[in-house]
Amino acid sequence: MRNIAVLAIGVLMLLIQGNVFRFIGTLGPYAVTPSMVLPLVIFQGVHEHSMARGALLSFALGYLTDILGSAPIGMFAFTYVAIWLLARVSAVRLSAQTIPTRMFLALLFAFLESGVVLMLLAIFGSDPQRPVGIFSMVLPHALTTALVSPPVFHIAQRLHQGQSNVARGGDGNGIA
Amino acid sequence: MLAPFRRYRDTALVVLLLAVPFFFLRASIRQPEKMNAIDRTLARVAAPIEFAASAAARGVTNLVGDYGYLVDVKADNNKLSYENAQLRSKVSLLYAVEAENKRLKNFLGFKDSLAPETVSAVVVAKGTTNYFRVTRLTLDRPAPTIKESMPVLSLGGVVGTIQRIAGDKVDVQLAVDSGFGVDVIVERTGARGFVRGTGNEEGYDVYVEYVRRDDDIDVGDVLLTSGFGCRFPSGLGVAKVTEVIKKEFGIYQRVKATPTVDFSRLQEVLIVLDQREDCVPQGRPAGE
Repeated sequence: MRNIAVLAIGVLMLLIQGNVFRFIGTLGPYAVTPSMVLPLVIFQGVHEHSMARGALLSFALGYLTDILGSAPIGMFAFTYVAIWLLARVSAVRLSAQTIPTRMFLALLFAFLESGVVLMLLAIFGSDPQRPVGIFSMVLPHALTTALVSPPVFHIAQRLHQGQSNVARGGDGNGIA
Repeated sequence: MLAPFRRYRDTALVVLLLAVPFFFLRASIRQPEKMNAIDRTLARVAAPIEFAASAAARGVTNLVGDYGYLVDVKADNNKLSYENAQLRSKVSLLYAVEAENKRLKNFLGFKDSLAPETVSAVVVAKGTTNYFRVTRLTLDRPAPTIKESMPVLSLGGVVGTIQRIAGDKVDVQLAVDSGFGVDVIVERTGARGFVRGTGNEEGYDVYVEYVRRDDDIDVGDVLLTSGFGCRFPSGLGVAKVTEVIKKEFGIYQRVKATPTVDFSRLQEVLIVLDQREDCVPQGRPAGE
């Protein structure tokens, strides 16, 4: 149930992201859309106990991003699994409790996400100039992602707490 | 017991989840001439999966898109309703302008049909009662020759005569005022009479005096100016007969009429400036 809920939230975030992209796209060529799904992936990496579930959810969110975002198949599926793994192994659980630390995490991982995407494009892409052109968007993308991350983290946390309460018989002590 | 197995399983799953998209990505964005057999196989395997996933994603986006479209429709509907209201208002305005245009054209034609020199004027003020007796005009152009008692006409016929003049402002004594009088003939029979305002505060009506008892006059007959007094040109509508009381004795019959001009809607008028020098006022027949 939680998996479906996370995926549903992921689809919702992607749709919001798509509409934001459409709106921001009218403002100028260098306007950058935040990644609304990335905070969900980070949250899975930081808070999800089950490694299999976290990896599968990250993969699914990445695959949905590829499909809905018209990205090359595998681009975000790979990137989000990698980000999830990095978040998990870097053990930043304690630092993901407050809004500033969450924003910092989102900023950091948005840079990493951009780095991975640029690297993949540089390795496999047919146009070598494309990663160079996209490079200027890394910083604004990371900043906007950090700005929108708190509410996404909040939603993910509520979802996580709700499911933890259900799993524990509703004792109200979820992981935060 | 299961913990080490689970750990290996999870690790293998993570590696798989990293490897699969990596190779699929490699197969999907690599230049076709650089693709090897593995890439081609992966692309072939991925194609139906991608197709199914894309179809599902399209379904979701279409659903949301349709909802967004409905929201847009609502917004468009509000916008169009507003535009519709504005256009209705403009159409009403244009109707009014068209009516005014038509009225002014008629007025112009009427003005041209009058031989005497005239000056047009616009009604700017009326009495405060429902059935006012005097109305105020503003002349459209200076008219130094304008004088009191000059006739005032409109499309409907006789309006009245000038009572006071102050610059380009003129007060008109309407035909329904008790001080007003004009010689008339019955359009249908040529019978003569003299229209005089009743001064009635509760309606617009006039008396027709001096209509001989044996003259043919009936309700609905139109009374026209006779021109005998030399003030008004002949043939202008003055009133329409509403009541005829034939007495069994006396010389005249009692006739009531309503003016042909609708004073409540009076907007533009003409003042006849030139009094005909050659006109000789004719008196009424002996005994009248």
